[in-house]
Amino acid sequence: MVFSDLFFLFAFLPAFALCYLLFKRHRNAVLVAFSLLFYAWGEPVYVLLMLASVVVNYFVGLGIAKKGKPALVIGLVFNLGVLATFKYLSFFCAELLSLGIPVKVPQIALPIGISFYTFQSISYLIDVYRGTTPPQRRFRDLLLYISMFPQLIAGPIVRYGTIATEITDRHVDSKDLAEGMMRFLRGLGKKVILANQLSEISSLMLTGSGLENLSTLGSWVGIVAFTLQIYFDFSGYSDMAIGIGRCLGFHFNENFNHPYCCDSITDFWRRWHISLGTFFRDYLYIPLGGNRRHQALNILIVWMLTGFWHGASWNFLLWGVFYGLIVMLEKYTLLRVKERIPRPLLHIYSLVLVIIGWGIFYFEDFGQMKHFFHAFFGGAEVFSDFTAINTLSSYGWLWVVAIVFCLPVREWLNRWVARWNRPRPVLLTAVRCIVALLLLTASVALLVGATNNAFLYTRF
Amino acid sequence: MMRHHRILVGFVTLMMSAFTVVFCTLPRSTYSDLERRDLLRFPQFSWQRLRDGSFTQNVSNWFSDSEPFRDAFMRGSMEFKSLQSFKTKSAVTFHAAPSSAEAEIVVVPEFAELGDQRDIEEFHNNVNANAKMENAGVIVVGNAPNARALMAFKNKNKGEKSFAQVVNSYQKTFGPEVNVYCMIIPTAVEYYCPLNAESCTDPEFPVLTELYALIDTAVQVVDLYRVLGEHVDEDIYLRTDHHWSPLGAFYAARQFAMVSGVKVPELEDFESDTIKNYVGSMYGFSKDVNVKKSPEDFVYYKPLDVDYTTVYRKYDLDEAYQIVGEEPAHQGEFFVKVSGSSSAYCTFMGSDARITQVKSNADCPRRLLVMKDSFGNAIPGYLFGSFEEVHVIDFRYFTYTIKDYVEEHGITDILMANNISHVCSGAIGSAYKKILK
Repeated sequence: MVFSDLFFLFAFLPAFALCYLLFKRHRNAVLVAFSLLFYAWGEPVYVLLMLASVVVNYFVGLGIAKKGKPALVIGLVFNLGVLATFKYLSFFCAELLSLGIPVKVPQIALPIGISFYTFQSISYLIDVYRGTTPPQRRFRDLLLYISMFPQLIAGPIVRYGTIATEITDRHVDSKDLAEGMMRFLRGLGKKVILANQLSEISSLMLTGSGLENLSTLGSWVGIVAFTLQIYFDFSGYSDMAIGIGRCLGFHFNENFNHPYCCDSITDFWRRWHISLGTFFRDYLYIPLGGNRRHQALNILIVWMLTGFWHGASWNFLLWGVFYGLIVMLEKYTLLRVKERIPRPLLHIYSLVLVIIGWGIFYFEDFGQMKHFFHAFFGGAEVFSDFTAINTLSSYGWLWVVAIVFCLPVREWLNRWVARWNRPRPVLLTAVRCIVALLLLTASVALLVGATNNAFLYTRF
Repeated sequence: MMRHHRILVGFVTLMMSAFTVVFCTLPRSTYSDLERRDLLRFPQFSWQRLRDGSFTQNVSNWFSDSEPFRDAFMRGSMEFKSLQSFKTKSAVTFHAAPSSAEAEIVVVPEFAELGDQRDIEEFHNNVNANAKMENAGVIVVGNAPNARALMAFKNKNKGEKSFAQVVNSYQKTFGPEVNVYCMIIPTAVEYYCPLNAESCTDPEFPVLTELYALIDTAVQVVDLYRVLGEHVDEDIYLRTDHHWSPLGAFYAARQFAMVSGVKVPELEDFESDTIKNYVGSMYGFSKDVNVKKSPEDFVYYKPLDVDYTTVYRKYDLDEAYQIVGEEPAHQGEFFVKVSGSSSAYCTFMGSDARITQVKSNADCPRRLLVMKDSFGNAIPGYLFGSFEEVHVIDFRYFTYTIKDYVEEHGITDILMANNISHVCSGAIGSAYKKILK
């Protein structure tokens, strides 16, 4: 089940809200039950895997308090073993087979959200080991932390310490509800109104006959559409997760901070999928030595793994290495002279590299990737074609709106409103109601008959 | 401030509740007029389906497919999407003519001499118009109220060789006793595609010439490429449907009559009838509101001065359009009164899934079997006065063998009339082969 599914919006969510309100004293139990139902709806068998994972992590967490490092090692081996088995085993076996080594390739379907809940479990165990948080002694509450449906299948990767207190002691007031609802609707709008339609453009240009007949302009149009699509898709999901969490009294950390406003690739990764970046920083980069020793090697390892976390395919690894090398180069070059370079140039430099990065990310088939980049760098038979030009005008306002909403428009508006001598809460509330109405109505209309509604990050 | 937060919370809750009531309590839609299909039904439960996740997935699909007021929501969605486009002026100019890139429209009021049906020249098109590529490979030319939707032709399967082989095998099977004619119907995109959108579609001309070369000379080709090209300034194709118009079919019937040596009256000698405000299938395919806002007249023609009776043998189909039964033969009307304008093309026989036999008082002892796809539905009505019997079968819905059928009914002429997309699909060759004998 995904947040932008009509069944989720108008069957699951109302049923959950009703039960949550009716059984206020047992709200965590209700949240756990609905979270398991949410996961089982898409993965009826793999819900058992997730439950088993929580059981193991529960006992390992308790074990760490008594035995320390050996228990942590057991926990890490278990979690990484689960991830390796269900996400990477088939891939590596297939690669070995292609090299002529006779191994059987197991047919293992990727459990939804496994990368997210495994990383959350690892963060819990390491935090317990480091003593930054005590182990959770109540199984149900640990199950709630790992399985909570708002962030279960596509993040953000919520640290246990972030919500440990709120699991047992949380309060929701009307401001939380109002902010949470608006955040949820904003995320829904990002996904349905922007990302889904941008995906029509990227699919048209970068798949099937569109890719076969790709012009240079078409390659740029397609990959820029994907650049915008993946941002609104993923940040939309994060907004919805944060919004639902807020309505329930949880305060998840932000996962995005206008990444396409970055002025370097280093800056981009401080703004994009923040929860993954900080996970690798805190649990891998710094333990490896950070910038104190073997910094270049540490950066490469972290970025290779960041790429590979996204999927069992060489293009993701290449994507990670691509960014690792740029971040490393920037450290010794750009970041030292950044202040002397005009900001527009820095933005252009960063965005071009980000767009190239998405080109690597998009194509799992290296033949297609080569064909794409050949067109992208001007090698196509024709510079422009009808489809490319047509998508620019047919979706004209979509492009404009999407680009505008990559900028911190809301923050500008808030600042502008704050400058008023006398705040007008009635007017503000009316505007927010109208925005909510438009977002929900347009999203519902667009969801009826939608065929391209899956969130990109649920497959990682 | 808290009060204002409560107002917002109340408002959003109210909206969500309203949608929940609509989606969960009102009767669900079962058919989409817009998409012309039955909507999903609640899935059957089984433990196996529950275990593999297909049951829950299908429940979600059913919920999202059969919502109350589905078509209204989709219309809203299309209106919303149309707002995204930068508006351009709708100036469509057609300067199309055969064999000339520069020439203005050439109208040929009367048929020139028949000539060699296989010797055709490429039709050069000079249509200048704003166009856009929509869903499902549909090119929408111009804006409402005169938008024209064109289905792009993509020859992916290269099925022309297998089709030519099967046409040849029909001729060999029946020998000189039965005349076999092959009519390949070009689609509208070949004539009306604007210059700036030509890259979105494959040309049909080279496919036709290849087919004409592959088809044995013993098979009589009925070329429409040239004939339709001579009438591009008339409404020979529907603007909002993937089919041609009854007028286009008239020119095709006349060409067939000339090749087969029978007579067809002038258009004025037929009785015309009009279904107003027709919006065809391309609205559902393209999901472009401009098409919805460009209704057209569906004008069809019924024979005058011919007495004829129509007998149908209808097939019963399941949800997957598979034949599950056959009704006994019964008399009916060839030109069916359809309910609403959206089904106008079903005027001819009502549907494809049937065998049709029309007996007339025509002063000609020949009997024609039309083997066709839906494009062919519009042809037989013009031929009732030309053959004493006209039989119509759809190659997708036929459970007997053509060999037996031809012998049983004394068929003297077989016309295979199919649109070029079907001809190149690859599947049609094996389907025709399967029912031959």
